[in-house]
Amino acid sequence: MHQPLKRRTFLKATGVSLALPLLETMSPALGSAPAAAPKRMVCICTTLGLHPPSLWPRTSGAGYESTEYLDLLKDHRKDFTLFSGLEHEGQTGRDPHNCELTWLTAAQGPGLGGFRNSISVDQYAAEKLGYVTRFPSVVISSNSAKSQSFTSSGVMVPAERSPAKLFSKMFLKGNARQVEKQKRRLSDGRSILDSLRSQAKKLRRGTSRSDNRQLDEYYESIRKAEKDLAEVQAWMGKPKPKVEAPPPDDIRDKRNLVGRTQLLMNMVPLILQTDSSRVVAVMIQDHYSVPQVDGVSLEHHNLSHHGRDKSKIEQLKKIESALLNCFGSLLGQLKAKKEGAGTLLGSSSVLFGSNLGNANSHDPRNLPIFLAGGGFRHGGYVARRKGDTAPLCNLFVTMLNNMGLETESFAQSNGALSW
Amino acid sequence: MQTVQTLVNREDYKPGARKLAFLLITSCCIFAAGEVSGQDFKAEVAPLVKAACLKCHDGDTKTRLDFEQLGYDLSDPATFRKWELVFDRVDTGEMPPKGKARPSPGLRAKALDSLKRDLLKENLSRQRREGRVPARRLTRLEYEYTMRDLLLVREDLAKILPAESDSGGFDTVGAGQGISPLHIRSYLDAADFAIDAAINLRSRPKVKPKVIDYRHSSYVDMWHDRELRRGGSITRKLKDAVAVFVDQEHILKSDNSGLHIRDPGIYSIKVAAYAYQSRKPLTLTIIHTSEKGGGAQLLGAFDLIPGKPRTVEVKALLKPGDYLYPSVAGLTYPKRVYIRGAQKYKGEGIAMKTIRVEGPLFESWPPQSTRRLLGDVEYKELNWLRRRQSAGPDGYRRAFEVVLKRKPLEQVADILGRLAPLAFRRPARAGETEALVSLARPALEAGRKFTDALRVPLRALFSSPAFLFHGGEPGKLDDFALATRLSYFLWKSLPDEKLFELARAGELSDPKVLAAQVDRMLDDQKSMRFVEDFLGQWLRLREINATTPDEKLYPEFNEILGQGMRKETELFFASLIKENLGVSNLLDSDFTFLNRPLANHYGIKGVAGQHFRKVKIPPDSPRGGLLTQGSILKITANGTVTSPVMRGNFVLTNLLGTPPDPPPPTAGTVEPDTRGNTTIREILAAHRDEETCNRCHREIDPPGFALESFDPIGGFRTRYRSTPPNGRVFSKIFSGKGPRVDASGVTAGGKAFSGFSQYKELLLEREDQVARHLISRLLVYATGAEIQFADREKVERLARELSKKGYPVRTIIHKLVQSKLFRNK
Repeated sequence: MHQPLKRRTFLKATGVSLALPLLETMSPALGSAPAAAPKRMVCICTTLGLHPPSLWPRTSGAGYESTEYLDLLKDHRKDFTLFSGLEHEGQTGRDPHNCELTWLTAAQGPGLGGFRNSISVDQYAAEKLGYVTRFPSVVISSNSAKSQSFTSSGVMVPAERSPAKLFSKMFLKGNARQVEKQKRRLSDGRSILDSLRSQAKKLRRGTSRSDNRQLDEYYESIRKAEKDLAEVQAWMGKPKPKVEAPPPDDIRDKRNLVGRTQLLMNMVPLILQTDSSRVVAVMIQDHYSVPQVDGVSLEHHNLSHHGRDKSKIEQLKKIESALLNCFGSLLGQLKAKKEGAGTLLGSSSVLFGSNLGNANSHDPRNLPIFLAGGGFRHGGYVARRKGDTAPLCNLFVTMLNNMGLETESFAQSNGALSW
Repeated sequence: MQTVQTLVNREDYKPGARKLAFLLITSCCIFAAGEVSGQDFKAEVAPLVKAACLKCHDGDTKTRLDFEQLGYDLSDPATFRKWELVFDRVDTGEMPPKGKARPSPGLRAKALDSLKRDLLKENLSRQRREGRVPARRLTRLEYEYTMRDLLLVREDLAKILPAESDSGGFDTVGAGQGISPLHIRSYLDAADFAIDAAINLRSRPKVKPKVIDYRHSSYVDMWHDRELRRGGSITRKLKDAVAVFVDQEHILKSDNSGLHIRDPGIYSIKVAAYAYQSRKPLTLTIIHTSEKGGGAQLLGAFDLIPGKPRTVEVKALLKPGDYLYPSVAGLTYPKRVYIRGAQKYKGEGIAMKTIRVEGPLFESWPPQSTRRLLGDVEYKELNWLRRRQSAGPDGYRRAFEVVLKRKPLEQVADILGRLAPLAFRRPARAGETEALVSLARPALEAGRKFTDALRVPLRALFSSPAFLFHGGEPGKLDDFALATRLSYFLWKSLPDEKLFELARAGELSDPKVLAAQVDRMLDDQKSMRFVEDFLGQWLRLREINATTPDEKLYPEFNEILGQGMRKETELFFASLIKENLGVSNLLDSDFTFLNRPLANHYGIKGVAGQHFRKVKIPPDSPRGGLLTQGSILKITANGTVTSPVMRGNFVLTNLLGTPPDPPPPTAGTVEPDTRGNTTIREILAAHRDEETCNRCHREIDPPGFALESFDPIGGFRTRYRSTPPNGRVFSKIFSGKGPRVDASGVTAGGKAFSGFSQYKELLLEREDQVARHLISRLLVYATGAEIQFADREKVERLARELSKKGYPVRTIIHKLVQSKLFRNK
């Protein structure tokens, strides 16, 4: 390797170790038990909301009166907090479902003329953490490559849909030939990027000012991709963690929304427990198929526009209950995993909710928001009166700070949320 | 000081006296620009602001405009945009609002004049300085088409790249495009993938046709007598075929009967079948799907006339793991089969005889893509032992070896020397190709195979800024940049050899030559890429499958119908170009493009067969114009119900170019209620009483009301449909009757209409506006930049010129390409 690369690698290495002195001891690859459990963040969105009358309790505080939906989570009542009155401002987009794109970013006017998304809270955390883990973040989805995770330039991070593929990427060694090929492509990639960087530099100096924004962004991207490749290469040299769980079998049938969601939920504890990543975003979405849930005969999206038709609401509730059970099962699994003196749940802030407060009318306000784990005080329903709202971003700030990523603000926040 | 610095830096890359002189001129412009960004208009505008605006738009404002914070420095883009908006609002009389104190006409006129003057001045000087259009990158669709035309590969490369973000406009507009480290890594991957597909040294695929004879397939045999509840008994074994009555896949799937696709490529697929127990033509479809999931794709649909057995053929790109099946579609009463089985079923069905798959089809081996990429080399066929040993790091066994006729690095230089100017769409600059070629050196020195080492510079080439970006110098585009802009406009891909030739000869910028090229390009089948992509975004046709209609309310809908709707609109627009017809056809036309299912859907008789053709619309039909096409009507509904707001918004935004403001944050959304007691019209009426709502809704609602005559799948209706009480539908003919449709209304201008046909007449009066909007959409799409303040007059002039002839669409494209807006950066 030539000189400048060495210097960069060195600088980067010191940067990381200064910021995170515990890094070495945390690495499970070395086989030692972590000194202090790393803090994690999981964001889960079910994009068609939760039927409000079945969700919201009539009374608030620690002694809130449970509801149909909350009954499903009663085993975990002490482990989560339910919030009302949280929302992002300016979520009316071109399409009423566009607020899916901004649930984790809080950018305004999604899809309207000149819209550009901003960084999502999970990617913000991932960027800050960098490659302390093999994957700075994991973005998964029940149905399509669409996700709610966006880079700082507003580019959607594609979601992995296949738990099997994710499992193999995370835990399986791959055959020698594949590994060899991948290594070669990586090192080829680095020399390619090196050359592109100087091409971009030349081009930038030779072009007009208005072109510079795009070229600057390109140049920055090359630089960042180069850094990333170096990190990925470094991780390739380390053995992947072993897990006892067998590789999951993907469910091909899209109509099995609940089964697919459950598979994703089962992956989350594996990802966190092996410290393969500390940031996970999950999107549960399948608007246009009929979920295979007993008694459901219409499409999910269609049912969400129930038009107050009782039979449709009944069906919708069946789907949503099944999804809430998936969330409950995740909490159960995270609680069952001991980590040091605590549990995996204790070190993981799990956000569960939706970008729609009322899907029947596409209302993106008063969002259903659960926060579980993370070492917070839980067990209550933090209610806000009608009209008294707070930015959902305040909760994001709280979650970031909880991970040790000190920040005073994120997107629309005006403080941190405490309760 | 700074200018000198700039000069020195620039000179490094563009040596030569002429360039230097040019740079001096540009630099002077930059100097001059510093003076323009002045605040001349402040003196004349400030009194108006003080008199008429500050009362609401001050520091305490709840609106998005605060004059106390807004500076007067127009060279700041954000400030410029705000003042531009102020100009528009005051100029149209929208601000100050009704009922508020009005400024004196003198004050207003003076302020507007000076504001306009300075906005123009600033905008023009910026355009002179930097060009109108900032650099933009290839969209992922353009990337795929470019690689397809350059490397002759047909892979789905777009999917490997990050999705384009939805910025409410066109993805070709640089300002809305993002680029991230994710892109860079995806470009490297996509290039890898494309190179793998292009360089194919595997053994020649066997093209022995594979045939499934359904009558004799042991797999299919299992199903005829199997119990209903176990998925059987829905087929019937005939003497020469298997009769199928319902649309299902598990029995006829090609892989289940042992027909597997092993090599990617273009295949010929033939199905032999005939209509069974039927007196009318039935539709036979061929469906393509993949093990990897992803929705089934309709490869073709064909009419089967009773008594006339047919063998139909489609050609399609198939990949390993794909499978096929023939199917019936659109049959009446199929559910009876599920209840009583098929053995004694008397209804119509299709008798499937055979499916025959042959391929991959190719002209030479190694294929053309390999030969064209590698150039002058020889291919040596390997013996079996060498084949076994040949599996490289890329994991497949080669059957051929590339034998070079010169030194490896020279061959790399030859390949890059050919490819780089094509990929860059201009002659390579000094050192550019060499820099790429040198990337192969370490790999070659490390003893890697030629094709493996070649991969490194190729991946770099296809990730390089000169490939990915359209740039160009401020001022008039040179012939190469012009060829690029033109070709990405009409073909979504790089210029072909003819365009390059004209650019090299410096002839393309000759208006006559340019016009001839536009005609040639529009006549080429590749221009359908433009039609599909442009309409996909302008009219949002991409969203045709975003909702699936409620199958209880709209049982007659199916995927074929949906795909047909999109096709109708594309062919319709393409015919406006082909026949150079006027813009008024978008609003009302006496023709459209239909096939049998769509014609049935529209209630138009006499259209047989699955192929689309131009059809004259009978005078008593409500059809004609974009707004009556199923595609638009479906896109603007949510599948279950129609919303006048969504449809009205579409008319204002996509057709008239006057998008309403988004609703204020406090506005409620209408909660749909399909139980039938309140219509959406009644709910909307309530909120139109409120002035904050009414300001926009008096514009939005009327076109939406007029379109209430069309249901969510574009069918004409006089009554709404409502869910049958028991919620069960067996028939594909719907019978539940709801309330009557009222499609009357009053436009914002106070003109009453009784229904859609009268509304259409009112809309036709706004032809100029629609034409102007189409022109500006085309301009934005083609150049990759939004319409700026200084462009408006040019667009206006263009529109006026075209109005005499009734805005013929092909002529619009010609005039646009010839305009300075298109020919300058």
